[in-house]
Amino acid sequence: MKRRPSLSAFLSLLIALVALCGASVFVAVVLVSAEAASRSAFLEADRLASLLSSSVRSTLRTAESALWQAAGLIEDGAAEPEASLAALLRRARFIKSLSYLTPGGRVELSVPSDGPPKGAELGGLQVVSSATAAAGIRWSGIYSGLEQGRREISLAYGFRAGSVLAVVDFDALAAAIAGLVSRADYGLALVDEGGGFIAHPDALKVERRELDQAFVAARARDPAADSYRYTRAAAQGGESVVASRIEGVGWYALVELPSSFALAAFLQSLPWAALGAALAIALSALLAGAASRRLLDDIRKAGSGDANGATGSEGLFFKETEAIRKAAAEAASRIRAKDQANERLEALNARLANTLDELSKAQAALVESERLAVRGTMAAAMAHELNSPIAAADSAAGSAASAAADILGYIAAHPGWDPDSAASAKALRAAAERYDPARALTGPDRRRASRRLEELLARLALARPPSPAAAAAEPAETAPASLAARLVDLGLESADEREVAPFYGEAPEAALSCLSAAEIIASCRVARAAMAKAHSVVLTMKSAEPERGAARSLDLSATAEEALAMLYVRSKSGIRLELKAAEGVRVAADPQAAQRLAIGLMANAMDAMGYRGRLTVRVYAKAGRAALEVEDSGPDIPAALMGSLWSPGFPERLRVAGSPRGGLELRELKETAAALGGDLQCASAPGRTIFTLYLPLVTAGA
Amino acid sequence: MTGPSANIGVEGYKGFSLALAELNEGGARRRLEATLKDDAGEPEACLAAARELYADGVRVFVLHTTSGAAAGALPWLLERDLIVLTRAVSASTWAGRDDNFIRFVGSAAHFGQGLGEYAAIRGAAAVAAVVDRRNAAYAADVLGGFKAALGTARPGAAVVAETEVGEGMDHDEIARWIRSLGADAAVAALAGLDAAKLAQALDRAGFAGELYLAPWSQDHNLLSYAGPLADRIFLANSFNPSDRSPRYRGFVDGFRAVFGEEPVMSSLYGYEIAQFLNQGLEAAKDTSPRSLKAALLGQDGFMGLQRRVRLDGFGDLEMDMMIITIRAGRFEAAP
Repeated sequence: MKRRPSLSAFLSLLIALVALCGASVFVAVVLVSAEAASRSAFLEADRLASLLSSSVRSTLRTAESALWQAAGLIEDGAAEPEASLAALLRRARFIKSLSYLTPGGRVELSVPSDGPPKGAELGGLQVVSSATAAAGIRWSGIYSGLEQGRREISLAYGFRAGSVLAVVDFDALAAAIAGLVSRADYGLALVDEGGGFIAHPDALKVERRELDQAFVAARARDPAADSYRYTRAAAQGGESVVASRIEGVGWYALVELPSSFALAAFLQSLPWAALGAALAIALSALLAGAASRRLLDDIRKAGSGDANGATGSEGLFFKETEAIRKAAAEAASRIRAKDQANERLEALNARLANTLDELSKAQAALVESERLAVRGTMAAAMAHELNSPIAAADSAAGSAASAAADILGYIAAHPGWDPDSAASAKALRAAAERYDPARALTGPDRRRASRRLEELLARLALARPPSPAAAAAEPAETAPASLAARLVDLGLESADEREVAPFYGEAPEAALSCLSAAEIIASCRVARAAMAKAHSVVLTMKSAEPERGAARSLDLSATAEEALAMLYVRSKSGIRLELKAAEGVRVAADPQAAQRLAIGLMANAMDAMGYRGRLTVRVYAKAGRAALEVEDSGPDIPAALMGSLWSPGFPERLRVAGSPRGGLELRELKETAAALGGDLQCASAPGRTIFTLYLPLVTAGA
Repeated sequence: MTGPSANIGVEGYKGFSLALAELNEGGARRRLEATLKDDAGEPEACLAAARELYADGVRVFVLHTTSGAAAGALPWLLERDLIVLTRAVSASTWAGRDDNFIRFVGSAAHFGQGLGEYAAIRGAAAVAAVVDRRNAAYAADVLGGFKAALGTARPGAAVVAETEVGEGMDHDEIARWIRSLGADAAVAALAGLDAAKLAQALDRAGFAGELYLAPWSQDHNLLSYAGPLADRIFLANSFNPSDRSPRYRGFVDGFRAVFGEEPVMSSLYGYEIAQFLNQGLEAAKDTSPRSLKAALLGQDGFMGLQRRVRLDGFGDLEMDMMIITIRAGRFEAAP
């Protein structure tokens, strides 16, 4: 994310630049001033050194003049040189003794007598040897005179005839020089070449015979230099020392400037206005920096909701600060509120989107569930509603077919009623009971069969004796074409003359009645086939029921009663029904399955009885189970077959003669009972067969 | 720095200061600074100076003074945790002790012996002795060694008389006393100026013999004031002023360039003791006296300006000696 520039950093940078510029100006001024102060200090030192040098030089010249005069006396061959030198010595300043030395350095003459002894070899004395070698004035060091180790200075003057050696009255000379150094504003001192103090404001240095060790170090570095600059540690602050050689003496005038001197010069040279301006700039920069930082901090704190920071009054405070602070606080408050609202809205949107998504999914699931449920519920409801009429219609069709078969059976069984019709009835019953719509002739086959049979019927009609009355009474249904079509449709396309002759006999109505009865049987078969198909559709519809198979509490007695009602039509032919149901026997079972079991058991019993006899249904509770007991009075089940009673393919109609019918096998009934958590048992004896269905009993409060 | 033996202090201080300047300039591991105290050649002043320096935190002392003055401070100093070095205190009183006194100097008795042997060789038979009571221990060692060697080297030869002098010495009176003894030689343990003035007095008294001097007398004053007797003066010394070795000549040139004069024995001793001290400081683990002593004694000798020297386990030194005399105002090796 691109970083935004910081206002604080920007302001600080500007302030720092201003301060830097101010500091740069100030440093430049300071450097220039320092350099000027340094130069000024050294110029002052040089000036003082020059003053001291000239003063010392003039002082020493009085002593030097004595040597020159002594040398002149010697060279001029004074008659009494000793007396002359003595007289000279009395006038000379700073001179304690005068000696005349031969060019080899031997003392020839000394005044006073305690001076160097006559005959002493002083050629090795440095001041003598150098004065002799260079033919001029030489001053010794303070401790390097004739009497080494004493505060004594010797002065030698070399000239053609030898040299003059003077022992200087150090105390007198030092007193004169001390007057020079003590009047200076800064430290003035005098040292010899070796750094021995000849005069110093601190007289102890002279008395202790100290060396200026810093000067010794400086000389050790460069012995031939005319001047030295060095610093010297001091008890009270350091000293900057400038040592300048005094020409012709070999001594050095020291100007000892305290460290504060350079500082004082520096301070004096400073342009205070510039310094003040620099300080003002720096101070302004600092204040501006502090103020801006303070203000920004306040604004930030106000923005961050820091109550302490927002209301603090310490430090810098400006009139505008409060207004800006309040404005910032309000703006920050609004921004925070907006941010919080946005956050809440975003959260809400997220939750809503999530909810919508979930709702959409739930809705789709619900729609699908509802669709399935509705479909299942509707299918179940329809199945439930259709199942009973289908069962009733099937039962009725079966009853009608049975009745029609009975009619044809009666006619066939009693030829005396109409011998011609008996044959037709037998043939028609056989054809009707094997009628299968799927195998009925259609198309060219039906037309060919119908034509052949029509020709036979027409021949029979022609062969019928003419009788106007008969002709007038001849039913229209005997027309060969229509009759042939009805017979072919009934499956009698190959009927012989004997079988169809009754339609043109004395009583064709009887034959036509048999034909109608046969058609009823055939129609019932068609209807029952349709009922079977409808039943399978109902079963399919019931399979779509959402909670199909879910057990629920139901009254087993009511279920048995409903089953009996559905089979009532069948029972009218000759079955005496008896229901013995205890009250409150409730089972936990799928109602459809329970009803299917009840109907199956009862229908099986009716079939087994041949629709003649007694059918007793009992409902009771025993040993924690509910029982539906169906007892019929039909033939018993042979004991040999009891082992395979529940096997697949066991014909439920085995016990009675008759045509097979659609329905559930005993195996299926047993499996259904087991699926409901129950059982199906059978007990059979001649004239009494009992199927008992056990289901889980629902106890009160369960 | 003051008193009758001021030349020892002044010249030694010059040599010491020159060495410090050279060492600091040459990048010594530790910057060296000297604090000067003057004992005026007096034992009491020496002790007072030592106390002041100790109070100021000084723990390394260089006693460049006479044995007599040092005797005032040494007992007090050696009771403290500090180190004392000397190139001047040669009295045998402090020899043979396992203390913190490092003596980079030959013993006075040794110098006396050498001087006595030389006097015997020169034919001295009756010798008068003059010693300065202000440096009595030193003088006694010198004179003791002189006597022993003289009697041994020349049977029959002996110190026939001894006298002690001090402040206000009357040189002419001593000269007359020597002359009255009929001595053919004199031996003296005096400071240089007193020795020179004694030489003048002996010359004035018509003394024809030779003057044998302890090393203490070797300074410029002796050269300046010895007078005609100068060529009959002989001194025992470990310092060879006629040395022409580059090492020594370099020192002489440097000294002359800075101080404008020739170095003398004390100058050389002051220079060498500073170099010796720095060598110990460079080798010491720290600046404690114990470490410094171990470093000083642990060195494989010290190369002085004229010879290599080695300290014994007590921090004492036995040094070769030689006899010098004065020729044309300069010290030279004696024949």
